[in-house]
Amino acid sequence: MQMMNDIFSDIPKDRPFECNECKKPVKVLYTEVVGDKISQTVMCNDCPELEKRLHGLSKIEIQAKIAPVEGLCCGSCGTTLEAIKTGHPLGCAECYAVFQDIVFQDLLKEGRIPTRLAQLKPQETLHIGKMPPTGEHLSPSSKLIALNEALQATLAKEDYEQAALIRDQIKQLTEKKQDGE
Amino acid sequence: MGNEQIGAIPLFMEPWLQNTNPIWLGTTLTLARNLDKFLFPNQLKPDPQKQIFNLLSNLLIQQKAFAGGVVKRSDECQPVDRDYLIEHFFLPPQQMQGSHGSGFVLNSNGNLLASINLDNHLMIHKIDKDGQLEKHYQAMLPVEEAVERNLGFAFSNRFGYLTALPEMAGCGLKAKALLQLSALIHTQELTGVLEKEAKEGVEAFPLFKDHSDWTLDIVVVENRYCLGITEEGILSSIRMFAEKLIDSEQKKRAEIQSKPSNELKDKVSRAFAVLKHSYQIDAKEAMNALSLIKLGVLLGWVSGVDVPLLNELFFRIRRAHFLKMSGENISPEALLHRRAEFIQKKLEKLSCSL
Repeated sequence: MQMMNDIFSDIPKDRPFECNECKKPVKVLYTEVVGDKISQTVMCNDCPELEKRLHGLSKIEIQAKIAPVEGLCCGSCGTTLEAIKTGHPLGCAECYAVFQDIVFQDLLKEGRIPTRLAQLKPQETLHIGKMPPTGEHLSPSSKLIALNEALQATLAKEDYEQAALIRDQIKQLTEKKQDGE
Repeated sequence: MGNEQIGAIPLFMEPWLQNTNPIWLGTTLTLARNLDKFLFPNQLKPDPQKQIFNLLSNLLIQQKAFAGGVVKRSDECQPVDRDYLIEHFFLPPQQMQGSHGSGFVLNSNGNLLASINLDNHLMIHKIDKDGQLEKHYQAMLPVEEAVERNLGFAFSNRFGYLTALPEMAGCGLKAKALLQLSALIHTQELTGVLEKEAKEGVEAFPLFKDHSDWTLDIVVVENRYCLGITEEGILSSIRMFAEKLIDSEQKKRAEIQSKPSNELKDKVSRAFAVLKHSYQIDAKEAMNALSLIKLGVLLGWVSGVDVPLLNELFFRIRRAHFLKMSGENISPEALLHRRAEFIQKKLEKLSCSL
């Protein structure tokens, strides 16, 4: 095992399949030599796979027995304050409203916003760049949300005929149009 | 050379061909956006992920900027494709961990990439070999505006365009200038220049942040701020800082030419020997040697090769580029030797007058 300091290596390195979605930075390069085959896996510092390979169990399996930490939580996606403090990304737009003070303080502490903004009052606008175009219209993404919700409701009611119609509408919205349409 | 296409994404060498620039190696711009009313990719279930991928990829491939391009889901791509995109677009490897429901749209010139459902629903990456930051940003806007008109982005008046990582919220724009400051680095003067010219909101770091050395003699100049600043402010602050560094580098090169140091001559000679005579060579050693040769060419100590070829070789010898170019599945052990052979063939007329 060596610290990950050579991304120019000619041996391809992949994350463990279970950890494909981990967003934490890669810090460890785990090299396994079996006979004449060398494989390299890259992992973050807290990787449960790494724990398993080294010690046969993961921290998370132990921590799963501990009661979840109580605290602020986004009602829309379930992202917790604890997760944000350990470097996890935000889960949705609503997180910015729920955790706005913490986000602002963290950005200031890390030097990610101009120092003049430290004097701003809470709720004051920070963004001065490009703005979205104005105008009310139901965007396809909003339609998609509505259709997905309707699909879940009709399936719950076991109205399969209606569900099939809604599914066709979702398919039409998300898949390519055929030539000539 | 073999005939097999290695990986799912074809090899594009543009825009890295015919690059005559002695210092400004390239520019990368990234715009990050999330669709309105959807959870961010890290919280999305598989079905909405696939729906978003289809929505975005269908819309993007219809745009003029992506005409004739390719759409690839992550599960259609091999690790070599991911590595190729990292090498070609100078992307941080940790940003390229894709799951089912993620993928890419690449244009026919190989200089515009849209990644879908990685850190954010949409990230548009533009690369080019010159320093015309404003022009390249303007070239990305029609794509971004088309998606915004049709689908809508997550936005708040306070934090601007909302991204999964708050450090990109606001403009959602990261711009990088890649500068080769070989003279300053090899005379140990770079740190002093960076401290002297330090500018709020702009940072300079090695090619990959977790490296402690200046691989390829590249200094990356990137904006720290995406919030509390305009897009024009980001681009102009990078350009001004880069121009100051280039000025210092040019002055240092002139100084070296009039009063060359034995230490630097020795480094260039050794780089020459390594490239001309190694039986095998890894990418990092080769790239570092090539950047010293480039400095040697510009100082008049080395001849038989021009700057565009050296700039091109920086990409061709990287692992994924090399495999795609060769059209063969070369083992890691054989690759070391094949790379050394390739470099020697390309630099057969190289000569050193030191």
